[in-house]
Amino acid sequence: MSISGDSLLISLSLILLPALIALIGTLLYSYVIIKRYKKVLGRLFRSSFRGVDTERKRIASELHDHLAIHSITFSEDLNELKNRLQGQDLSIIERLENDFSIFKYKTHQIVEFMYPKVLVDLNWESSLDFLASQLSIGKIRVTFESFADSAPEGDWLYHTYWAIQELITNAIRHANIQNVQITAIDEDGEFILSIHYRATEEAKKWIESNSKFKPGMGTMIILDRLSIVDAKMKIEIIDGVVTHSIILKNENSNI
Amino acid sequence: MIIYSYLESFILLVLNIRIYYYARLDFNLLKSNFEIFIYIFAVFIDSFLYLVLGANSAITILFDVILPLSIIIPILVRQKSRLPKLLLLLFIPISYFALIPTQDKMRYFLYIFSMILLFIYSIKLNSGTSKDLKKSPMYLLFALDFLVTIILQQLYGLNINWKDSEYVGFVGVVVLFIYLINLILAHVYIRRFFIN
Repeated sequence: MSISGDSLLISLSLILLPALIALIGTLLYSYVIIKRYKKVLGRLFRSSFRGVDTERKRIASELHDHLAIHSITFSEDLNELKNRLQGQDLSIIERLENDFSIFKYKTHQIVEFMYPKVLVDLNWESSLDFLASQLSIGKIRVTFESFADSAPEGDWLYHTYWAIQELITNAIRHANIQNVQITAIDEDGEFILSIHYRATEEAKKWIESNSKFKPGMGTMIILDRLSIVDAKMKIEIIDGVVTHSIILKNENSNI
Repeated sequence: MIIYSYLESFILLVLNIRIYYYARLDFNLLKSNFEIFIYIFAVFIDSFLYLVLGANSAITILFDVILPLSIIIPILVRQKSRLPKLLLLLFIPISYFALIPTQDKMRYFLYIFSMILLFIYSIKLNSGTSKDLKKSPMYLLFALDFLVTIILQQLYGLNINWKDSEYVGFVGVVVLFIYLINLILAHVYIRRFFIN
């Protein structure tokens, strides 16, 4: 039996039409499901930050407590030995005491870097001031100035603190700068933290490459931390100065 | 072919018995997934009638209309907005004309509409709760099942003597293979569907 070309064409299009609908439908279905799982993975990734932060706090406090308990007994025993010994033996004990002081100082430093004690107080001003002094090493000078009358809830400080630390470390590493200024202002129900530094050639190149290519690990961490606290970030280069603005909602604002 | 028909009817019968058994444990689940069980039941009746009465074009047409409607009507009834209610009204004349043996085109459009609606519904479920997300692949499979049915309807409606065609035979084998796998999968998942 033969059929005409037209009717064959119509029949074929009658098969192709549902196939096309099925293809579009399946693609849309896959797109929606991938989007949903991507969102879930993002949430999971961000929540892992909280786990890491809790663990940092736990390790820091355990290190601190152990050091406090054992250093008391150790120092008492050393003092007793110092009273009993003389000559070369005494100088060995004094050297040991010196080494122990360095050990205590270094451990305190580790504890402080792991979980700065200012974060326990949840005070924005003292925390950011501490961060600035902590990042001022050698030729690098980081200063903090606050013009804000109020600040957001303390819970948000934690992620913002680490994000700013990461941001400044990145800037020092990539932009070849020596002076960084952190400024806090409170305006129109928003708490704005600005990080300013000189727009060196390296800084311009670094910012340009960040906008063109996929952000690196450091920038991704900053963005993830800021998304937890629902903050926006802006980068501007005006009159030879780079400004990173972190904008947070401020429920405690007087407005 | 006859062995396949017996096997299919047997698997469907056991599936329906299992659904009845689990539905007694959790009737609410049966109520909220009414269309799935109605569809499975309709497929079983279709298969059973084929075994008892043999190939009968009137029964084939009747079930060609009943099967998409058994899924689509409960879904549309459950929706709260106005558009699904209007679509329900649209399905009345389509299904009436689709029951007329000469109206192949109406049956074609019925399946096309049902397929589109099932795709939209499964995509919508993807954005819902985790329970909805678990159910969404089922409606996607129903839509793909309708696609296979449309293709078969078109192939057999071409008025060509397919007796000597090897390739159409292959299509038939592939379709039966997919149906059988789906039935076995339904058996595997039905308990988890009710218990979890």
